[in-house]
Amino acid sequence: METVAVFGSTSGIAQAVVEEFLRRGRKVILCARDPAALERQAGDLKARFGFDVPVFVWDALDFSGHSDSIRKLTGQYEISGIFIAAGIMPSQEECEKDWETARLLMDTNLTGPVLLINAFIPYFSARNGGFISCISSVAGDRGRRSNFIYGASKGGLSVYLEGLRSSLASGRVLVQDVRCGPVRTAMTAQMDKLPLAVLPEQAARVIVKGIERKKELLYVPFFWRYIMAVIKMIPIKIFKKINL
Amino acid sequence: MTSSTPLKNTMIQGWGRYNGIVAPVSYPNSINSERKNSNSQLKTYRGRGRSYGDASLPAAGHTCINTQYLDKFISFDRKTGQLTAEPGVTLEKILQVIIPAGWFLPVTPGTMQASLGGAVASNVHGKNHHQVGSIENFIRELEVILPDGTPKTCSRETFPELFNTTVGGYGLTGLISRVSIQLQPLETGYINETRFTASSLEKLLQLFDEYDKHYPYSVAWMDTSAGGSSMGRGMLICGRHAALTELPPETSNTPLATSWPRRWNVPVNFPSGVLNYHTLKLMNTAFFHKQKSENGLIPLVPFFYPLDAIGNWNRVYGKRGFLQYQMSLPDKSGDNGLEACLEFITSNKLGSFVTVLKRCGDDTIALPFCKKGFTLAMDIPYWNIETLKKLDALDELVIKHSGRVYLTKDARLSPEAFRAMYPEYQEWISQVHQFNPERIISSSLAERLKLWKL
Repeated sequence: METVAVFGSTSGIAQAVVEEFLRRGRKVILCARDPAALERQAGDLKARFGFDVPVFVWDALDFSGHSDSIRKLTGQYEISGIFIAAGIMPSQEECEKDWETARLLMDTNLTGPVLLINAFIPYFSARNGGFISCISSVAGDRGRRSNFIYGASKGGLSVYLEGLRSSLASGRVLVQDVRCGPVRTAMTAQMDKLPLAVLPEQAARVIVKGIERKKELLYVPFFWRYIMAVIKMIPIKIFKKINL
Repeated sequence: MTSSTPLKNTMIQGWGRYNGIVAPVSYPNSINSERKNSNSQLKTYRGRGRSYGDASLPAAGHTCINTQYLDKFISFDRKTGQLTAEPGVTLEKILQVIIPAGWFLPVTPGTMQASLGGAVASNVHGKNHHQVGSIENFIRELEVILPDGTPKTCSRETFPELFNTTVGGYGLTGLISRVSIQLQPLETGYINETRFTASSLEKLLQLFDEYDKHYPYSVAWMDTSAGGSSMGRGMLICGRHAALTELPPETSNTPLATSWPRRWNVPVNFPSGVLNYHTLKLMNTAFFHKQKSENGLIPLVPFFYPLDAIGNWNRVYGKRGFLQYQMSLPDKSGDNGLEACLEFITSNKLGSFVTVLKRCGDDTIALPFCKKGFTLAMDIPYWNIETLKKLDALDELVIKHSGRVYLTKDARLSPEAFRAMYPEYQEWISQVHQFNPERIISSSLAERLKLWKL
């Protein structure tokens, strides 16, 4: 039975994406770091949908363990696609003050996902089908003063996905870059200004539809594509002075 | 996520937007972390903030703990209708799961946007109170995390002191961290509704006498702008669950399918003054004359939650907000409490847009609101200080007739009036004190009513 593996399943957007997959009849396996949180999520889905959803303990920061995780997952399940939602967003200020926070951000948002996907490449190449979808951010489209360390991690991720897509272009694997605008979740709950924010359920619908329609680059919601296009055009001499 | 980020100060309001306070808000993401949290930070718990006044507003200097991300289902037995969930789940989310499985809430308030925890803290009642009572009768078990961090399980049989103090206890004993309720079986997604009109209070009360006991759900809408011989005119709406056999053939294939009306939102505040006494009178009169007695099948959602179709409907009252006043008046032979209150309301032009009258039974929790008799609920656009004075006078009238005001709706009751209305208060608060001795948990409501001063 084809199963989608969702990495970082307990995060706000991923929870909604999991539910959207289940509603559309796909099977899902939840992968996250905290076994208690996984059980809580699986229990919730069981109560609401009436069936069991398998869980798998996985840590984005366990770099050396990724190959092993993949071996276990693909050995037990027919993984038809992966959705990666691991990510943290400590404030720019925190990252500037404390190098360990900055490093954790890079490891969780960039290094972890890249190493995980790297380890999955042989599997997807051999299978020659399915999808690799990863949450990035509009913050990665351009380095802005207010959030550039987070932006760097997501920008790097997007570049990685772009290159990966080219390297797998001769086959039929979808490599999808999901660039989200602000979404109202526990992660963003403390933020004052969340311009044009959407709810996780709304983001999930766009994402899953995008996977079904094999869209390679998704902006969530769509209008961010045009907003970021404009922002990317602003010349450096002006952009560096804007307080974005 | 590493978070030493200071909590954001936010303006928090009651649903009526009459009260408001700026306070830091925290959004815990997991019940487990609350279970071990024994810090003595002053706090107030908040669900979805559908109480009209200040029941879920933080007390000054308290942090607001918003439970909206404590919203997971824990278990749902589709055979027995036993549901257990975290407090932040909305009733809407519950309904979306249970209705297709052939179950329904045994008691439901008029909005499905309330949280499950909030429903317990307010001991909500619904259109079927006269037959089955409040939600207290359907709670199988609660888990409450006391202020010192210890989780305690309670029910009517186990640790009843905690149960009876917590249900309808406005979140003052601890965090309601897990709620188990017994649902009622549902055959179809429709209600068979019958409406009767009455041109006066006397006729309306006759309708209650005649029809109330034959229907599980009944509620009357009243026109409080009408005075004189028309005082108390209105419409009694009765309902019962439609059986499979009553459905027309095209719906009987999917009997549990029910419409979830697409919500449209009131995007901005209406300017204050759009709704005033004259427009109110006009609307009430027009609405009354439009109604005819009729009956028919109506889907569950519009029958139980008519206002939820309009998101943010509280905005039609403008920035000024509005007050809600709900009283409970016990049956006493020879007592004309209801008539006296209605006369006061109409002659003082305290008319409201949505006035609801309902027969109810007795609540049994430590601080009960419903008493066997009638409950009358009205919304009052807040116009000026005169309105507040009139409501104070109405309080006195309610007290005179042994009635009381519902704290979930209240925003301005005085501590003295509260004590006169709730003789059970002393005993209840001393129980609360057992569980919350350092008063780590409080709320704006508790402070306003000076609950901590015996």
